[in-house]
Amino acid sequence: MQAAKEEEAVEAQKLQFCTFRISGRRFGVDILDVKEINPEVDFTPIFHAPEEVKGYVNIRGQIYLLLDLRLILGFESKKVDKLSRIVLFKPEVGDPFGVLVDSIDDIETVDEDQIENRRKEDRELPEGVERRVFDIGGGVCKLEDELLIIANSRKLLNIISNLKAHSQESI
Amino acid sequence: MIDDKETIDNLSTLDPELIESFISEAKEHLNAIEDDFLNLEKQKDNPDRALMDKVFRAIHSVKGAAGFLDLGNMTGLAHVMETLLSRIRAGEIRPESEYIDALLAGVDLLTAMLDDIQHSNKVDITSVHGRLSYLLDHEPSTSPTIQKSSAEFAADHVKETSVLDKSGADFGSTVRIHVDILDNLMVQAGELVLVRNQHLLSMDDSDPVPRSVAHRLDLVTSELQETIISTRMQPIGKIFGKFPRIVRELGKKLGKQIEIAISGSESELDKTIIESLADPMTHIIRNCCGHGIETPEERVRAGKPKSGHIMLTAYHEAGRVNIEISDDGRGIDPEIIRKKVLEKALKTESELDLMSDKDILHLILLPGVTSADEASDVSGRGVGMDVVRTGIEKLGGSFDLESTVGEGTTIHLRLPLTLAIIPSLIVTSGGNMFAIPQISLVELLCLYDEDLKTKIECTDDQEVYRLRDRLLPMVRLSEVLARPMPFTREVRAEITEKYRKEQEAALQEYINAGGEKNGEIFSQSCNFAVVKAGNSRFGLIVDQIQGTEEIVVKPMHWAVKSLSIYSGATIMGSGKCALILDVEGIARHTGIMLDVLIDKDAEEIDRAAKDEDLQNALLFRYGAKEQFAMVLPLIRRIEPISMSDVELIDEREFITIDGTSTRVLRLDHALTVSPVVEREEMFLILPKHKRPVGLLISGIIDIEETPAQLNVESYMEDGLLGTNIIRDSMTLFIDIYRLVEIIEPEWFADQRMGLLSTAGLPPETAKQILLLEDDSFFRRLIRGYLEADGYKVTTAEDGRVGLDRLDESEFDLIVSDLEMPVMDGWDFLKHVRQGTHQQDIPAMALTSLDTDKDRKRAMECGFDHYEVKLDRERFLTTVAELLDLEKSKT
Repeated sequence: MQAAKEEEAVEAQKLQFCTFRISGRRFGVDILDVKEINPEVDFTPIFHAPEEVKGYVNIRGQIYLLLDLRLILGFESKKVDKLSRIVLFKPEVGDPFGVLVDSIDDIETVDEDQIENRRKEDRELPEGVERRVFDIGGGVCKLEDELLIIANSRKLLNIISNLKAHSQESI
Repeated sequence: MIDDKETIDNLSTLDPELIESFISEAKEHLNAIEDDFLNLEKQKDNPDRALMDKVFRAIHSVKGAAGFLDLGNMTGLAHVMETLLSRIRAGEIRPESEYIDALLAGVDLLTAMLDDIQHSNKVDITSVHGRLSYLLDHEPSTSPTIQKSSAEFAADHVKETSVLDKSGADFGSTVRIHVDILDNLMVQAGELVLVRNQHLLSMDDSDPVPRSVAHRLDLVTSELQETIISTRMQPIGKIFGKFPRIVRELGKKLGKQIEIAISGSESELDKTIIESLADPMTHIIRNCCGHGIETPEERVRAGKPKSGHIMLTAYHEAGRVNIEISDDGRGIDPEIIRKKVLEKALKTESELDLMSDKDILHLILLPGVTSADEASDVSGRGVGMDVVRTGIEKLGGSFDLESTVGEGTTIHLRLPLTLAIIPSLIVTSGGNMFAIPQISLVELLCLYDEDLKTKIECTDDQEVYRLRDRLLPMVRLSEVLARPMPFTREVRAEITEKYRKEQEAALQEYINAGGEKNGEIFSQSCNFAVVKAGNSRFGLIVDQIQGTEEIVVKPMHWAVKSLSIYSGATIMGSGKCALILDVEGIARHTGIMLDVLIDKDAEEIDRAAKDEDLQNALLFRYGAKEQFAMVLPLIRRIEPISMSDVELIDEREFITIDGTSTRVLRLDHALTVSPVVEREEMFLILPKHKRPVGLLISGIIDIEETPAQLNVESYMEDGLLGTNIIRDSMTLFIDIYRLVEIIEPEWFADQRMGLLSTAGLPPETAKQILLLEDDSFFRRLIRGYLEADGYKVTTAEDGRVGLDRLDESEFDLIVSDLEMPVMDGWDFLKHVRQGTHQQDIPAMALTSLDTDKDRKRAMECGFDHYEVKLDRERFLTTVAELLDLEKSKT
């Protein structure tokens, strides 16, 4: 009851997402978390780090940790190409980091109540994505002609440290 | 009071650098305590103990150093300030404004005297001194009326206000900024330059609007970068300024007429570079005076003007600072260098034949090569140029030398304008760059061809290299990077096997191809860096060694912080990131630390190196042959004397110094050394000894930083602390306390021997003594005395460490200094006495504080005995007594 009322109260609230494509699908992160989109893809690999960590990248004297969003979402990794971009997050999201995406897409404005925080019901997601969307705090939003999968940027770094903990346990 | 002329003479006999460093240190102390005084005043009811101690120590250090340099006025003033402070510290006086005012006036006056140290003894200190003594002699009072009664000092107040006004005006034009902020600005500016460069490259020239924007960006960026760099800049005149003095003194000493001309003093360099440039530059100037410039007679014979010229020029060029030092002296003869190099077997004749004259001149940079026929006090031991070159190269600079026989020598230094944060070796592995901090680097090696096969050997799970008869475990960086899991024995064995096979296969291929017969050389190379991790060393094999670079260290991102093989990351000049390797982490990862492969020898050497504190020692001469040294903390001061003033009484020599007959000690009376080279003008070292004694010496060489660890094995004699190689010659370190005992045995009654119950007993029953002393020199010295008497000694550098040691094991006696950082001797003993463990242990205070107050306070804290530093005989006797007492109690 209570929850329903609150939902009503914020009904009118619009959210903006910075969207990008991975393996043809559309993903988005809260635009307020994003610092910039950068075409710099010349990164330095960090050996011993989980494979989801691409490496370090230098953006104007600041070193960012670059994560491979494809691997985090359960896709195969792919070589960087002309369209590859990195999405860098603001400092308040966490220690400087960014994610590597296949290509950048438009900014999407959606009503908050359009977003469904469901996990199991959505059969349209591919296997791997389904598994991970919950991890990244995601929700799903139906756009006119496709689905927008929303990631919580604040959870991305946690995934890396959880992975690490996991790999250490298995030693 | 000593008159002014004498002060100047005395100062000029000492190393000017010593005086410089005294001035800068004293100024630092004085600057820092001004605020502290004001804070003390604010918290007058309950003065902060730590703050009080800090202020006291600062004034105490100034006094000590001024005393050593024989600056009577400064010592006197600092002394009365110290006394006042000690009473405030003891809680007898509350830090009322009138005291703080007087102390601040003292600080001002001390600072003023430091600014003109040559004339410091001329400064009138009577009013401030009087004011302080007045406050000491009169009962402390909190009523403000007293303050008025000291109207006689009103004049000083007026002076103070003017000082205040002046400093108030200064605030307008300068701001103190932390160096970190400047560094950060510098990094950002560097990035901006990269962005600008990229922008300029990618710009479409045809469109005028972006072009003009780009042009402005270009200009602004350059200006911004220059401005930021200039924040760290200081004029080179800071070091050049002291050279005329050095040249004048050396000229006088060597009987040469030398003039020095300086230009470009205003050229600016980074603060860090300026600081590290002083030593190499001084060496070069000394060389010019020592070898370069001829004596007036020689010059006249060669048809040159009587006085020699040294030109010192500094100028900016292509983003670097160039420094040229040229003299019009005799030049360096390549033939002499050739001869010397052959003599020392540093190069073979055929090698030399292939070299140009210029190349041969550069050989002077090799250690041990000198152009002088004979080493002198000034130069000629062949160490200097090597030191200069390493010093310059450490700064990222280059060194060039040109010389024409008979016409002179020019030395050309090129230095970068700024320094980044840490010097590192850049290596590559698999196309990626990595930085190894220079601090963990020992040496670099490159193995070729045959050596690869013969020098790298395999144990069952480890490749090892035989480096100068020591086995060095080898680690391949590429393998480390490829394996995220810590190495197990199996993994190590696998790697070893892989490379052994690879090596064999390569060799086989070469033989099969008939390379040997065809005269081809089996060519392969392997680069590795010998690195040290804690107590062990290992070789790190890399693909390529790129060279050294100064890098700005950035910490690892927290999500990957747990990776042990990295210590951070950095951005290279190319704009690419590089990881900084953590050598210890690699050692742990590969498991070589856990292995027994660490050989004992290396461990020993490393431990010694870690322990190796440096101390300043005065080098001097006595006889014709030996070089002697005495560490500075043992010296009160040095006095020039005339031998005609020495009186002979009952076969003993005395001289009157400061109204006291002082016994003149001759080294050859106690040691088997060559007799003194006697001249009319000699020097007397007045040691910190209770008795009025002075050590006769014939000449002062210099003050030199030397390792505190002395060699006691190769040559030892009673009365020596040990020996060390300084400036290429063996140097005997004098144990002045023992020396006095040897020469004047009757001064010391033989009371100790009877009590020495521990001597001759097996070591396990030896008495355990805990020694607390913050000064590393005294720690060694006292420890040595105690150990010589058969005690087992454990040392601690402050009270906090002392308490830890006490928890760890049982002791029979505590010997503790009082003034120490972190936790002082009084607090330490209070803790011991209030504790539950070994609280009854006898304790002795050993300190340089010598007032009844300190004595009383120490006794209140529970010390059983109070001893003033340092009468060896009395100290050891007391130790024996205290231990004996303890024995009879139980």
